[in-house]
Formats: sequence, C-alpha cells, structure tokens
Amino acid sequence: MSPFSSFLKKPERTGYQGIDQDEEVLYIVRKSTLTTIPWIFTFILLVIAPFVIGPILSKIKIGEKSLFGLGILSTTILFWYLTSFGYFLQNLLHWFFNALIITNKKIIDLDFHGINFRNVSETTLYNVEDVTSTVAGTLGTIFNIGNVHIQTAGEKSEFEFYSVQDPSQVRDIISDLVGTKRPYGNN
Amino acid sequence: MEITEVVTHIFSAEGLGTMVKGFFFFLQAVYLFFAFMVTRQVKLMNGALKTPAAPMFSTLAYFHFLAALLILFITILVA
Repeated sequence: MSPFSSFLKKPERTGYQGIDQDEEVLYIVRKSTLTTIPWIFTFILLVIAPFVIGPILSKIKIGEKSLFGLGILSTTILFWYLTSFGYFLQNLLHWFFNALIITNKKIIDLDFHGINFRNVSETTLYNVEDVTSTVAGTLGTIFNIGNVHIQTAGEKSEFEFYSVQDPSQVRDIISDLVGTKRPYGNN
Repeated sequence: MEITEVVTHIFSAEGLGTMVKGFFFFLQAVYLFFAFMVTRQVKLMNGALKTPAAPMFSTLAYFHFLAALLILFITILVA
C-alpha cells in the first residue's frame, strides 16, 4: 500500500515520536486526497504562467532598453519555478504530516502549521468518551467527506479531524478499538 | 552630483534595472533562508511521524535548498 494514501491500515515501518515498544500503528488517517486538488491545480497554473507572462515581461522597455534583459528574465523564470516547487512541497508536507494516528493504545493528532509550528496531541483509547462523525454540504455528501470529532476525558478534551474520507468508517474503527479497551462502556 | 541628476538616474533604464536586480537578489536571499528552514521542518516532521517516505521528503527538501542556492549564484553571475 502506498504511504501516500489518505487512509492506511497497518502501515509498514511506520511509527511516531514516543511510540512504546508494545505499541503498533493500526491506522493513519489524513485529509481526503480530493482536498489536494485545489493546490495541485494552482501548482499546474504556476508552471504554465511563465509561458504567458515571460513574453510580456520581455517587451517592457524604458526608452530603448528592455527592463528585463535576457539574463535577469531567465533567472526570474528559474526562481519562479523554484518558488512553485516550494509551494507544492509545502502543501504536500502539510497534507502528508497533518495526520491522525490510531495505535492499539492511543490516538495521536499531529498538527503542523506554517514552517515552524507543531502541535501534537494524544489520548489513550481508554480516555475516549465519545466519537462523532459529520458529513455536511453538497460536496461532502457527494464525495463522502466529513469531520470526525473525538471527545475525551483527558486534558485536551476534544480532537477534531477535518475533511476525512468516509468519516463513518473512521468513527466505527475508533469506537471498536475503544470497545476492546473498555468492554463495559463508560460506566 | 546634484539631486536632480540622482533622481534622473534612478528613473533611467539603468537605474530601474539596478533596482529590479537589487530587489530580486533580496527576494532570493530571503527564499534561500526559507528553503533552509524547510529542510529543518522536514527533519522535525520525519521525526514526529516515521514513514518509509522520510528519505524522499528529505531529498526533496535538500534539492529545494540546493536549487535555491544555485539559482542565487546564477543570478549573481548573469544579472
């Protein structure tokens, strides 16, 4: 199974910082791959743009002399492609690493924002009180994309995971795992 | 050089060209720092979530940084 899937079951050679020796990663859930379409489309537009903008820039003249000579124009285009690649890489990294990790002991929510903000929350399966899935909106209903809300008894009382493919399945998986830890329910 | 000559030079083709180049160098230097930060970011991310794709992300981040460095050198040589 490709590691670039939005839903991975028993992924091989996968772990997280602080994993216990007797702990096993059972599932990795990411935002639906459909949520990557807008930034992939933007990236394609960025790649095409120099073919349109380049000839226009080369025609800008001040007096007799061109403002963008061949040298500066070609390095500008190179720099444009570099920043486009940077845009693609940033989005890919955020899609890939903003994940919900479900192990046989815990649920870990990885959140990365920008290039220097990281938030990692975790709760034991025993602490999970309630799991809710929501599918809303036209696109959500058509593509079965929604949110999963996990209520816990821990310090961080809520985990919210957005734009998940088939949220009902994720809710069911978590509920079943919680059931194995607390076979008699919450009371 | 009188002030009117300075202003005339700034708004001449050479002056504007120099300003564009200066701004472009500055942008590239800032971007080089950003590309370096991305390599640190990938290291942190690969540490937080260990996957078989980790070497690929590291390679992409270092490629991105080296490309930024290379393009800055090319700009210094060409522009």
